[in-house]
Amino acid sequence: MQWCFSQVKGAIDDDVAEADIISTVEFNHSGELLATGDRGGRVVIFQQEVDNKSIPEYRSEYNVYSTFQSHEPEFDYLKSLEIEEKINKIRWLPQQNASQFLLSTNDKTIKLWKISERDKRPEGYNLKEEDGRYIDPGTVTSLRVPVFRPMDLMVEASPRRVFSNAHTYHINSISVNSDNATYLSADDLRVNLWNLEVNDRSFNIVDIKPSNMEDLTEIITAAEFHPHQCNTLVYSSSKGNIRLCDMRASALCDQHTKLFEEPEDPSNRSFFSEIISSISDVKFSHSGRYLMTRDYLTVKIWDLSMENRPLETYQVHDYLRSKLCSLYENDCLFDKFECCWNGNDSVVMTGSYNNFFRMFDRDQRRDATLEASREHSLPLQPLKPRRVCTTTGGGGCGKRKKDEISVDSLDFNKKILHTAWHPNDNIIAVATINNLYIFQDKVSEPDSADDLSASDMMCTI
Amino acid sequence: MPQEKMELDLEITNSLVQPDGHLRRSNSAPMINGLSDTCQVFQREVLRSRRNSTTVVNRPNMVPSSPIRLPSTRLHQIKQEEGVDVMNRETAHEREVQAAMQMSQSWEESLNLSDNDLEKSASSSPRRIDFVPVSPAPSPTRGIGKKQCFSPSLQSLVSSNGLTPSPIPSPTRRFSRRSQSPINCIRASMLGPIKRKGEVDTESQPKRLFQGTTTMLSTDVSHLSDVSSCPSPELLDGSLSSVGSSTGSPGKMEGVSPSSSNSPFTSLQDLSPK
Repeated sequence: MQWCFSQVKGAIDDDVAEADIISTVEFNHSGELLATGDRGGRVVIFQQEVDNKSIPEYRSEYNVYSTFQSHEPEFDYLKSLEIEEKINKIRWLPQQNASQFLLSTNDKTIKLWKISERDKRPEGYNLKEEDGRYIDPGTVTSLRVPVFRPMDLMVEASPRRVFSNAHTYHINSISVNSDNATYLSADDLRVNLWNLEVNDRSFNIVDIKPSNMEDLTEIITAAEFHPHQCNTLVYSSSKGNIRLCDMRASALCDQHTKLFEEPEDPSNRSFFSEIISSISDVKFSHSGRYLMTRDYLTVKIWDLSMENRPLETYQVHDYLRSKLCSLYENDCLFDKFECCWNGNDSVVMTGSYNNFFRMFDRDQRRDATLEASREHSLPLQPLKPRRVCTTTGGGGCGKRKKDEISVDSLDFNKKILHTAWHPNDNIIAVATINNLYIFQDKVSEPDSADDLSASDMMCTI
Repeated sequence: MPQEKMELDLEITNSLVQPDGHLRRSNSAPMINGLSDTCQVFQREVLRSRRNSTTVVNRPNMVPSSPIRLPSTRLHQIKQEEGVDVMNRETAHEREVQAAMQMSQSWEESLNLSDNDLEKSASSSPRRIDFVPVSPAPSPTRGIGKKQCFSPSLQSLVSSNGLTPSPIPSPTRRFSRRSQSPINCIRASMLGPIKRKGEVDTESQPKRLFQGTTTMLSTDVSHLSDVSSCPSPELLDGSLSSVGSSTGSPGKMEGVSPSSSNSPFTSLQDLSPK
């Protein structure tokens, strides 16, 4: 695959308003819609340009389809605390009729939004002018039946359900079940099961809060339902392990069915071991056979049948291992990176610093580092892979090639935490702090040589 | 003794105001402010505003390699929160708030340059600031049934009845409501009388608007009237929503007397969180 820049959305200026910081990115099940949430509580939905879908070079053109304010800042009066409106997660429901539905959540409240189109409106009222002013009934001499006429497409977003007051701690994950009837929401200590139709009740299925808070050693960092088995869910912890629960086993799934944990490598143990082992994201593969987890330095692929160690481990930015102390000082050690699978589970992707993002091809055992930046992005031109060179004892990188950058020059404020991959196509959405980049893989001409030349090996994944 | 108390209060007030003048948004762990030395340590821990759920704590004095250090993670934040029972936490919070109020009053009295005796006596009288926010409870059903409509062709929000909207409040303006959030009003009242929100145009930054394939050119919408700065009533149903009422009538904040322009805290209003 060669990746080409397609579009970038967002403000150009470097002065980033806090409200504009993107906090989540998610494609819907068909890939036609792409939703983003930000710290200001807004959701912006992009739609794939319909006319261009058949033209391969332009198939990844996405335009704004809808935007709405999902959550607003609130105040918890009992605890005297603010509740941020930042959208933590968005999850789409599978489409069942003409409307689209998505769940969006902040720290405390989940909302189900219905996004529907309207392209006709009634015209020809007897008592109302077209602009809404009322007509004096005395002046009406004849009656007519209003008719529906086409109008400019209007996309309505309306909140259909509000699921609130179920979480004492901050919600970090939501996941729609494959049964299309339920979904889970997870906070630091509990996982709740909701029915999409019922907003005043939820079932608690996992509760790791100890009776004595002094005994608390780990918290839940992410949770997800299995893509096909509606009884199976996983949740990850701050200690780096993942628990799989079967809801058929008991009503309360405090006892896990499987525990995925890799024994710690004693040679790598450091003061920060526990912090960097904390899992920031967990994602089932589309097939449901594998599990991907992201901790601070690595991406791990687990086979659901093997609990004692991961199947594959990919180093995202191992050159940071010697910098953990300073990363702790500037709080970067607590960044929560997400990860995602491609449609056929052959490639995984995650973000890094300096607006770099990483891809790992599981089949071909290759990886690539790409950059999301305006300077290096020409439409339809392939992205050049980037390289980070670590300073060796011999006085730095030496002759640094053009696309190389040293570890010390990395900009840790430019972090890519949220990425998403189109479910059926090689189109990816990468969120920098306040911009959304869309890339597509290069469309090869039909008569180009299929065998890879040496230079191609460098550039392709 | 009064000297000691003064120093402590200073520290408490400082913690509410970040160095760059922004009012601090609390993280989920409330400030545990006692008057003992041990509590001071915890106070410093929760100074940093919350960025994500793995909480972040600024500990400039600590050497990370020290074995005695407390890991500053979400885990420990939760433990802290739960450790202090609710009564103590509320008491401590009230104490902190009262101290801040007294601080602001004493500042004002000392810095008030006006010769007007009436004004002086008014400012020195104990101000009863009602801490009950303007709405009885955060309404979880706020916004139910209210549609937000967007026109992809116009690339802007439209009114829900589908008719040609005029005037359309710019979507960017619609979203720039942070300065009128009741949270900021409440916090502002803690520090004494200040200029009303409505009088100050705090939003001058370009806002975010996605337009097609090109990137956005910043749209300066600060010239739109304040009418459009109120969130559309469509967003709010009849229930008392704290957000809606805050923009509608600053006067609802009981007990906040008209601004005293000599207050040193006036400038804070301009730098309210975006």
